[in-house]
Amino acid sequence: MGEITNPVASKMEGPSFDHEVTLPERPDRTSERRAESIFAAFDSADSANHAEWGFHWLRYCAVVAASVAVLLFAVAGINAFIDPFGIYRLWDIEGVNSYKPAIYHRVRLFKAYEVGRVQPQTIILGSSRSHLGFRCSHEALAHLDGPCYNLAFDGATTREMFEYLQHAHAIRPLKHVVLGLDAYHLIDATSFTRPDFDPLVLLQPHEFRAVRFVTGDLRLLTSFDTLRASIDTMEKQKEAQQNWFSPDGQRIGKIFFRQVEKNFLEFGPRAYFDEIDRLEVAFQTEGMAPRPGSQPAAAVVDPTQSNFAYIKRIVDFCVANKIDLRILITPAHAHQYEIARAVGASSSIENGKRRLVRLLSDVAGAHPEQPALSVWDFSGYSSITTEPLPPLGSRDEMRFYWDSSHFKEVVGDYVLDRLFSVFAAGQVVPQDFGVQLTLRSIEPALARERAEQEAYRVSHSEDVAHLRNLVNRAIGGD
Amino acid sequence: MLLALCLLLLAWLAPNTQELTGYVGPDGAYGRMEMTNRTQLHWRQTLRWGVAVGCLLALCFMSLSHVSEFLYFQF
Repeated sequence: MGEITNPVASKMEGPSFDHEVTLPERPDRTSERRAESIFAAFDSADSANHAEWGFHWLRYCAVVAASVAVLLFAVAGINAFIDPFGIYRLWDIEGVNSYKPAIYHRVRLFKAYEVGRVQPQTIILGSSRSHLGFRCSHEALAHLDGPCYNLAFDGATTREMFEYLQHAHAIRPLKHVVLGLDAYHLIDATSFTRPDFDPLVLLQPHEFRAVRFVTGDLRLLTSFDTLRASIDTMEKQKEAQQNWFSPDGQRIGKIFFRQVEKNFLEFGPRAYFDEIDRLEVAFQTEGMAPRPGSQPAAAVVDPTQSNFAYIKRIVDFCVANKIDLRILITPAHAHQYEIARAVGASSSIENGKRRLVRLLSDVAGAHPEQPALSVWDFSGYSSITTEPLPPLGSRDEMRFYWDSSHFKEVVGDYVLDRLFSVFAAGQVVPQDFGVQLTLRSIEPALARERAEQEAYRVSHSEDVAHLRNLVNRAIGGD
Repeated sequence: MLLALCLLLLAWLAPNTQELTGYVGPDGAYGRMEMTNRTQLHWRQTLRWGVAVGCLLALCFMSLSHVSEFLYFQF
């Protein structure tokens, strides 16, 4: 009978972990050369061998575990040092990691952690319009208690806003919330979350922060994606652009559009405005183009997950926690409402405003001890939102808008002036800009808006015809 | 393309898990190990294998979570 090598058992014999020795062949394995199989280890009938095998397995498993720990620790260390998503901001070293391009497309993640650093007591919730338009240094917000942070982000949904509201409140109890709603928040549809929304980095009420450390921090620090972003961050230090993130969370339009946004710089403000109009048409007509032999399916809205369900949760949360909530409907350019009208969404938006006012009235009725809630509507047709466009081919900037969706900071200032009844020196808010909606004022306000829309359609017939043409082409599938 | 070629070579030429671990099935039902193992690469309960397996496991952990990005409009 020959001898076989049992690499597993041999480790029990040798002084060195890697050392292999030969053992006499076991009598119950004369016909099969199975000793090199790890499974052979479990077939052994010898109890003494079992004990030693068990000991050896433990040692082997310890090596595996130690290797896992060392590698993950090293990766976490690199990621914590480079910090591509701005989670910790422990070291910002020029030429190494001070420029963090990865955060620009992961704003939700960045702001989830930034809230932890700023610990605001006033937050601004909303979409990219609020992200761009509102500054915490505004007189109305700067004088409120505690720090302020603009927690708005691009394409924010009502569900995401509610989650971030809870997160910010769990970090430090809030006192004031400004909630900027866009037209798409007022449509009766199921609310959802965007791809970069990550609930595991958000704190829930009464949740232990240690849980978030494991589900959020550790998970992110040991992720391949974070490692890739770290490498990318180091590689791109020489391409550093000026940071358009203000410390208070605002996207600084003056830097973003005038120094970073390629299309705005290359084609000019007017062409950029037209491009955003086209994108808005595509966005609003998505799924509307008829397909041969198919009937458009009516979207089923889960009432517990709808936009209004989440708006109600936000309102209820603020009322329950005695947070001063100021709600506004953002002032997009009239082109946006013309596109909405062309796709047949005007009545939905009107109904959304009615529903919002009713919701606030119901909540106020249920809590008579609390200050009444109201909503300011800056949408519609005013001297701000109907600002004329620069001539075709012009590189002139508009005074109030970066594009048809995004208003400039000066408009944001007007909005905050109205919302907080601030009268800034040298700044007069146009009389026709903004209307407070209540159960009593909503119908006259909507009637006035319809009349103003008709007037706009007469005075800007070419613009309106162009937008309608874009919508018709999109719906026709051209 | 090059990566795909490398991965194909890996799939065709590298030993599979049965070959690596020497598993021949219950009572050798899957045949003798020598018949199938094309390489001399066998798992052993050694320090080096422990480190290699540990690193692979760590890579698996690192791949479990993804950090998605979001591009909205032009931003």
